[in-house]
Amino acid sequence: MESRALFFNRDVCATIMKTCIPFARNHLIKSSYPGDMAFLDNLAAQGAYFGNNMFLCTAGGKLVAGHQDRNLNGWLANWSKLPMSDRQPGVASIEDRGARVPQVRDPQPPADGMFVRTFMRALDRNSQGQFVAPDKLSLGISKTVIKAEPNRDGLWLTADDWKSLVLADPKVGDVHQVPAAIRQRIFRFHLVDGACCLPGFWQPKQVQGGSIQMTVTEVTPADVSMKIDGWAKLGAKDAPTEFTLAGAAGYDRASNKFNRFDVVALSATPCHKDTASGRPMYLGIAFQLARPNVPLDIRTPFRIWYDDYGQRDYLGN
Amino acid sequence: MQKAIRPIVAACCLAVSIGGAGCSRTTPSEPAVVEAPKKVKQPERTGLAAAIEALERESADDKAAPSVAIEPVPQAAAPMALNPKAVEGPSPAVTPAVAAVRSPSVYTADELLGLHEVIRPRPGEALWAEIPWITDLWEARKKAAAEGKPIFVWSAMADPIGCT
Repeated sequence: MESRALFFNRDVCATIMKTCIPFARNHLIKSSYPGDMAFLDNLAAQGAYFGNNMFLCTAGGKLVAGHQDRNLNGWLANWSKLPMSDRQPGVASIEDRGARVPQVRDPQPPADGMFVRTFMRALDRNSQGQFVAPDKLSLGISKTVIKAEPNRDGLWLTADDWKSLVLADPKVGDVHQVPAAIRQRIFRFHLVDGACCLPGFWQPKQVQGGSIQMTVTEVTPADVSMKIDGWAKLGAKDAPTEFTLAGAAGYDRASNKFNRFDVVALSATPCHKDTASGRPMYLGIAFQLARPNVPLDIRTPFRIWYDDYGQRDYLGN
Repeated sequence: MQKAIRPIVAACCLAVSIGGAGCSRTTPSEPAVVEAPKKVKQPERTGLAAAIEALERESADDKAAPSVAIEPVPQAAAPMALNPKAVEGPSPAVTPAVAAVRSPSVYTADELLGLHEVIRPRPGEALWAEIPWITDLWEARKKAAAEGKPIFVWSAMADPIGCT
């Protein structure tokens, strides 16, 4: 979350968009293309650090400037000093990156999957008891305060998963229990406190109980509308954290796709204390379908990229 | 809240070592049982945290920061989308959705769903999301070569534009 603070300056963002090709990568995910990894290895050999860092490089693989001086003007000045062979449009040739060799740490979205964005935000309560989104967010043990925004993650449903949410002959009032595999995935990996940092996840034995059900509220020739409600009790038996879930879903019968999946999960008790203010913060999690034609909305779930066991643990295969 | 299994390696913050303690909790944690990724470097301390804190204390008339310094500068002005197509969601001012002091478990579904807008990113809140990030290295290289531009690399031990 903290590195996002670097983009609080709109001038920095505008300069990046105007003068650079912005490239973002999760260093815990590997590329399945040998050429990509060779390019990164070459940058590392020049001193590039990929942990939590920003820097400029050329298309050919020359490290230009790093974050040490944190002055984008300086970085761009270094770029302008490079020979024209590095900078002239259309001059640098990009070698083929080789045949794809699937890597465990390069998980791919399931074919015909349904992709949901999740947003995790620490919520405060004002003097009237209303839930509000604070303007500032303090980060973990550092107590660093940055401008607030929700952390994000992705919920992946396979084709079999989301099709299991569709009733064959829906009628108003029909109630459909969300299958256990999807319910467990949501509970274990998405009802987690990632509002200030990476979230972690629940073990199966920490799911003390819960359910999610979908109730058909409207049926037309074009659409099926459903409301979603549920609850979850997670953590230790003697001190579980309870969540209430509510939402709405829509299914387009022509395209056979969900066109709405808006769900809110709210913790019944505070999940952590704001490290700067000491105020108890509730956890609010919003689920929303990835926008069509916005590939960046499809983010690999934290649990999947976190370790080698992630994909099996998350998708159950 | 009892802790879920938290990352053992420091991974999410530029200047914060998580070490299983990303957020302060009100109850003790259970031991993590899932093995963390191996041979993962700890992030360098860059002093950014201190820089941000210093900015918090700066007076309004402090104009010392260069205009495109890679430093966080709080935005006081109204949101002005650089790339309107990339702006998240609708733009009405966010107002509290739940009006009474009650346990969350007794709120109606509509009241809870009203929090959706409170939780989601607001326009202008996440400027980084307005930048058209490329996540395929080869595509970024080809585009940079064609346009004669440097590649601005944002790399993290997490997903910079996702869960981080």
